[in-house]
Amino acid sequence: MERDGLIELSIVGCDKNGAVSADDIRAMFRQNTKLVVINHASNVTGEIQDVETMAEIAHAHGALILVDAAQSAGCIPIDVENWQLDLLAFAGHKSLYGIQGIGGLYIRPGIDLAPLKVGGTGTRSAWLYQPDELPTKYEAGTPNVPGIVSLKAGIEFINATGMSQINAATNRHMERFLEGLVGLEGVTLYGRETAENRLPVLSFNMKGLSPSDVGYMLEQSFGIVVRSGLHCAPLIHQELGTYPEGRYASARPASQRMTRSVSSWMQCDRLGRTHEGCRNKAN
Amino acid sequence: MKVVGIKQIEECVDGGSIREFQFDDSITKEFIDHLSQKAEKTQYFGSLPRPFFKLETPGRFTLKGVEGNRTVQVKLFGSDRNRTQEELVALAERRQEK
Repeated sequence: MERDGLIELSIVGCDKNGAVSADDIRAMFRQNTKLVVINHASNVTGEIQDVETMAEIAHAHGALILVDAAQSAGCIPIDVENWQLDLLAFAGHKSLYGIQGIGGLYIRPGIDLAPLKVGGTGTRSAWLYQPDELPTKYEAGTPNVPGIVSLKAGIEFINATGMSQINAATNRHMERFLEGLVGLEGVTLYGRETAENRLPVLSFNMKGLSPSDVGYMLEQSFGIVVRSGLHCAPLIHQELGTYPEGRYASARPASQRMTRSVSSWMQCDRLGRTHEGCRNKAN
Repeated sequence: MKVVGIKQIEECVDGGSIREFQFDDSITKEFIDHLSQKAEKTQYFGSLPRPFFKLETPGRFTLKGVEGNRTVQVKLFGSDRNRTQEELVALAERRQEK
């Protein structure tokens, strides 16, 4: 839409932890600002934003708020009504334990959006146009039944296990991750150095190694699989200085309820000394 | 060392091609040193419990692996990447003949 000249964007930065400041949001409002879009939690640093305050700010300026809860749904209780969120998008395949290709969009009652897709009118097969009733209005075509079933199973798992139980496990993992990395020579950690106010993801780099090398080495040596690269989030990597100057972004481990023991991670306590063993014919 | 298999992993948007070489024995420090003859740049992280290494000749290939494993990951660049692959295989197998 921006490239088509239909909207203008104001991009708000973040601090070194990935936190977006309420003052920065306020300062960015223009007369034509209609919508504030914010990640509930960063998929790079794990930082959790105060979206309730952001919603107050947006509404005070006559704008709506859209919260991207792709990373947080399933990790943090979300109260769209009390937080007065207008729109909330979430992915089903992360902490909601569904399969890829399923997600959802909450639309506050009273907000009328044009459907992104139309066709396969379903409940009104004789109609030539997309029905106006909800949810059919926004659910064109054949539903992704396998995805929906998997999402239901994921949510039932969370409800049966208890979000607090899940968080207790993932927080333990995070504490061990951080314990293994913080302060190590040659390791740069992005985001908070504690498990406070963050989801169970973190990003780091190792001196002398690209993130993809770190990922390869962790998988081959320790059986730890991480996501390396930009994490589809180039803007926060620009803020963190890991892109484009850093060129390679970061390596990102994450934890969830099914993550097995992180004891092998603790072997990484030697990672910080790796550059001592580096020999480089080019230097 | 004999190359017993080469698996195509990925064609990259940067024009590189990632392949996995499988050897008939575990990679040793001596073998890494042998392969490094072909590289302009060698990194060897010997202080890791299982040392990671990376060999690189810009514009032609990067080869990375972990000492003790039987596989390495090779990224080949350029139009003559198949020839580069053949040279790397030949280099690896020459070691076995000695």
